[in-house]
Amino acid sequence: MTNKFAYTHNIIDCLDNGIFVVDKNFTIQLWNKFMEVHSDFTESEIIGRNFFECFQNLPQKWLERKINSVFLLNHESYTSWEQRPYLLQFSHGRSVTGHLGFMYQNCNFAPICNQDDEVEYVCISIKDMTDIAISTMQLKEACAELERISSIDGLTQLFNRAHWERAFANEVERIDRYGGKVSLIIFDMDNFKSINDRNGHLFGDQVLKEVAKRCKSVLRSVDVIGRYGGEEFVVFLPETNIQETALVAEKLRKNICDTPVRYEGVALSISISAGFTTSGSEYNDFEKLLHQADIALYQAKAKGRNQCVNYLNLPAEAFEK
Amino acid sequence: MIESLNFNEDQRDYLQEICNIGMGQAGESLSMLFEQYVTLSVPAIEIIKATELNSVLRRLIPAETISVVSQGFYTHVTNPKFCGESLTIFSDTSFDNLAQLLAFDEEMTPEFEQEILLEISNIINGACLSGIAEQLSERFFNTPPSIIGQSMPVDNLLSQQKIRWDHALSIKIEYKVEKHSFKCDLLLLLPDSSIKYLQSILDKLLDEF
Repeated sequence: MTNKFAYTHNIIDCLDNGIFVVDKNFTIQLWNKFMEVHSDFTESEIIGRNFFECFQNLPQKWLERKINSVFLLNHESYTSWEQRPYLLQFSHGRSVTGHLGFMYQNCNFAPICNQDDEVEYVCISIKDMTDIAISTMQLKEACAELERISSIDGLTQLFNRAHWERAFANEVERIDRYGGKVSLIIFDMDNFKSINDRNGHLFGDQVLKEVAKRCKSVLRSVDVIGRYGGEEFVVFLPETNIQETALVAEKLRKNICDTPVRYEGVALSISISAGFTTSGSEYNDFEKLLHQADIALYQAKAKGRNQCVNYLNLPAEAFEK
Repeated sequence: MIESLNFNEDQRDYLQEICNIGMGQAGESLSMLFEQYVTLSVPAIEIIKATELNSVLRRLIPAETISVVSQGFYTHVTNPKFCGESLTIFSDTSFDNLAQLLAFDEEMTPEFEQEILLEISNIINGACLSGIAEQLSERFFNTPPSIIGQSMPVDNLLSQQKIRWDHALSIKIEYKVEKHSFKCDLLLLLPDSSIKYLQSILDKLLDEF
């Protein structure tokens, strides 16, 4: 037992963690090898000195209160690299491959009690979390990228059908619960099949890309557009009434058909047909709205294409379709 | 409810008493730490079924969305292991108020908000658990606090987690710091095995009475 005790200090020096101890006046009582290696202070230089005098760039008020809470409550306290990257700015082992300027740290503030069970010291241990921080951040980036990719249509860079439908369903649910309004436009390229047949699929792809770009220049940032299928696009417009929606639909149509699409020396005029509708005062359902806009789109095609049709203006017999 | 998990009247009274005294101490240390008066409610103790947890939580915490920090606690050498989990629950949190409480003077970022939640939870937990532990002549050890949800609906609190117990003893305490108008709830949850152990401690203490 006595033998073991004699080596305690050596053991603390062997630890791959920073260990130091302060008393109630923040005077440093212990400073292990790890701390010597990473800070500019040797044990003999720093013992007996005030912690905050040695490290002046620390958020002192916060840290004092934190350490005081350990003295007062006899309860550990913590910091985590995810919220506070480091307590003391040290460099880390992966200075070449790590892309990070400092050591990420998890810290633990533990009470050290005397024989009467009163907290006499606080022991602060610092754990190097840099490797975990690097891989966690890479993982987060990868997840964010995956999430982005899974919601985007690769060709047009608009939302894909699944993502757009989720967003639209959420919006409809929101207005049903909290009130409000949402309008919907569906449009379809006119004669897209013959564009593909005559000019080739690459030209067709260029048309879809160009249409996506032109839509974005017309729509507000709150409007949500997606590619619904082959040459079919959908837009929902939050807090927009049917008159405003009619204007937006017409603007989209004009903007798309005003300028021919050019690709590899060929210029081709294109047009769209659109149907639009808006939510009612109650019992809204995103599928119902999609169905209504679809009926209006069908009418726009039937009436000779290159036009926008308001579902609410359709005569009753159109609903039979 | 399983018969053995019922607290008899003596056990219940004694547990309530222990919690009351523990909370009194916790209130004192928190007032000292925050340098202002902290009020704690009388702890509300009940046994809840795991299957009814969500409806119980909705009743205990009448808020749309909550942020929750979890922290495990356990005793050193007991058999069966006495362990539990405390949930600190924040509803309509004003981070500026909390930041003042902790003497944070840095600019608020999402990371700081998380750190504040963790820090306040850890402090409240420490105060509370050491109050109760002292009354039980035990010492609790803790795992670091971790955020299990931020601004989420009450129903989502435990739905993602697999619940591996049948019953839990829930001790609900409300905290209020008037000056910074900050309020949160602490739920101490003990699983079945720990409830039994707690009952044996209570019996022992009652015998010594």
